[in-house]
Amino acid sequence: MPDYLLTTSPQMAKRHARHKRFQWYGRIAIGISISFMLLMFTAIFFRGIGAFQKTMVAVDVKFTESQIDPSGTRDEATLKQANYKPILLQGLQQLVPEATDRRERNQLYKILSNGAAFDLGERVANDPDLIGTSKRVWVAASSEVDLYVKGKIDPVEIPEDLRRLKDQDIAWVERFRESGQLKKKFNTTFFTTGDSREPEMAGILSAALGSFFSLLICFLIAFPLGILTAVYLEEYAKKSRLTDMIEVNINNLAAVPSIVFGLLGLAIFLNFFNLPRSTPLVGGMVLALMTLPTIIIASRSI
Amino acid sequence: MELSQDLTLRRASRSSQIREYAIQGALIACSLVAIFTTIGIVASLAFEAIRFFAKIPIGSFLFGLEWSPQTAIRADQVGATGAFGILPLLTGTLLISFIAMSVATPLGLLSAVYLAEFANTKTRNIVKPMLELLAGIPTVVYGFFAALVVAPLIRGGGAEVGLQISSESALAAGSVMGIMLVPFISSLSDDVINAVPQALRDASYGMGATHTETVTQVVLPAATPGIIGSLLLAISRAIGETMIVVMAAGLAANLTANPFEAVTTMTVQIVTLLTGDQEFDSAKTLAAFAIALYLLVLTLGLNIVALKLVDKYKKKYA
Repeated sequence: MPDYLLTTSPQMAKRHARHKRFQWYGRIAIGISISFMLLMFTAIFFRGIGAFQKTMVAVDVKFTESQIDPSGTRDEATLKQANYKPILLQGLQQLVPEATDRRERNQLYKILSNGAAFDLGERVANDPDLIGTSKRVWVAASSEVDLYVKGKIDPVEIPEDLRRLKDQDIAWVERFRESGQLKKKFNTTFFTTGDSREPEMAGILSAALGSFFSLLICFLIAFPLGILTAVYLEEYAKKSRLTDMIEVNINNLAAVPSIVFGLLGLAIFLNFFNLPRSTPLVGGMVLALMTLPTIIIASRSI
Repeated sequence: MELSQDLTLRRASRSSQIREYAIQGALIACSLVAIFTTIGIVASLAFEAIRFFAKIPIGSFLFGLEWSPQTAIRADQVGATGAFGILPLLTGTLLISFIAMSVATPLGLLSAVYLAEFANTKTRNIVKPMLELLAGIPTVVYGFFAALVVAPLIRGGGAEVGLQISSESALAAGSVMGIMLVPFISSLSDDVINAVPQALRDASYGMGATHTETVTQVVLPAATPGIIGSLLLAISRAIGETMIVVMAAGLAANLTANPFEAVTTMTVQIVTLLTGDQEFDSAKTLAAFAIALYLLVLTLGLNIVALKLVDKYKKKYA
């Protein structure tokens, strides 16, 4: 038997080593792709997790009638639009009595979110009996304070003149924290509001609703159309030039970049048919046209 | 009794025939939606592109080396005429696609070969769905990851070795896009490799070849046309990809082949041209349609070639 056919020969050992190596290349390739995916998920998880909590400040508020509703009408719009800033400020000053001049008071008020006063207005409008009582309310802290409490601003690393949160503010924040009047709480606002200029008041509800309605329209159009087309092509169509054309066309349409569908929607639905802009209706219709080929191909092959 | 009628010889009643035709007609109408969509795309893009070429000569669009889309507000403004040359956008798109394909091709092909030839059923059943999960992630998530994690990492790494790397480098967008393309290449190549007849493998084993030798010297050459088809489909996807580049690539047109510099792509420019308030008949807005038409011709061309290759290949071994 010639030497090179023996399994123990150096040639064979080399060939088997190559086999082993080649298998490892495959394993490494799969490993890279999957670990990249895991890395991406963890990175997004840790960057996103902070948004589910937000810093709240407890303020002891005196709902004085002369401030909120001097004429006593208890009208909803009046209650909502009343000036709650002095009321909140009074509450804050109970813990920081030394902030008396105008500049300091403004600085102190900046611990709270700009949305805090609106929030208070909503509460009073929902429950006008609050007027005349005193109560501890939790309102949102400003995004600067929120970032500081979450450890994203390091007062030692960053010099004071580069921060918007000054040393004085930090001292006040710490005082609130020590008295238990400043806590991170679950961020319900995030799920109940739309977008906002104030990060601490922003939420995903309006965006989620937009996605939901667009998808609903898309589903209602694309699902029946796609299934019926698949049924026709599989069960009814005889081989003809028209059927061939439809098939080739569907395969090609599936690979048209999504941005081109967007331009189709812009040119035809918006400019030609003059449908309203920025509505889920138009978005859903364009999405339906885009997903149609994929639905047809998938339902045919199963 | 009615039940004793001979049913086999009865002609379909007129009403059931009409119903049959109505159903077929409705089904045909559904299938035609796809055709009308294509016609709509081509017609709307062509119509707006023609209006664009009435303002900007087609030669300076196709071969111009400068891209700075702006239209004059006043007639005597400095730089009143914008430059609409698509070549910097094309090179930017191709650079990012090239980087993406250099990441995706080895990863996708090796994964496909391993899954199709070496992995046991258990591994395959776990790994395949995981790879397909990559294909199901919305591209905006990849874009987010590229812009906020990968790009700073690459820039930081470059600074360590003394390289000046832009924070919107083609490398960041391209490499993340490459990972996005892995499942497209791997699942199509997997099908293609599985379609190679067992007889070819058996013959190779009979000649004394090892498993790896069979794969590299018999199976892969036999599967080459199909594999090339799958790569072309992936390239067309890379060229048309929007969200990753919108988030991670640059805005300024830059005629360069340096992967460390920021480049812009055709899709990014379409997005930037159309967002914001624009009058609809300015050259700036119409340029978006001209770019889209170019993009459509490019991706459609690649697709037709790719689908032909895969189709021919499948027929060969069917």
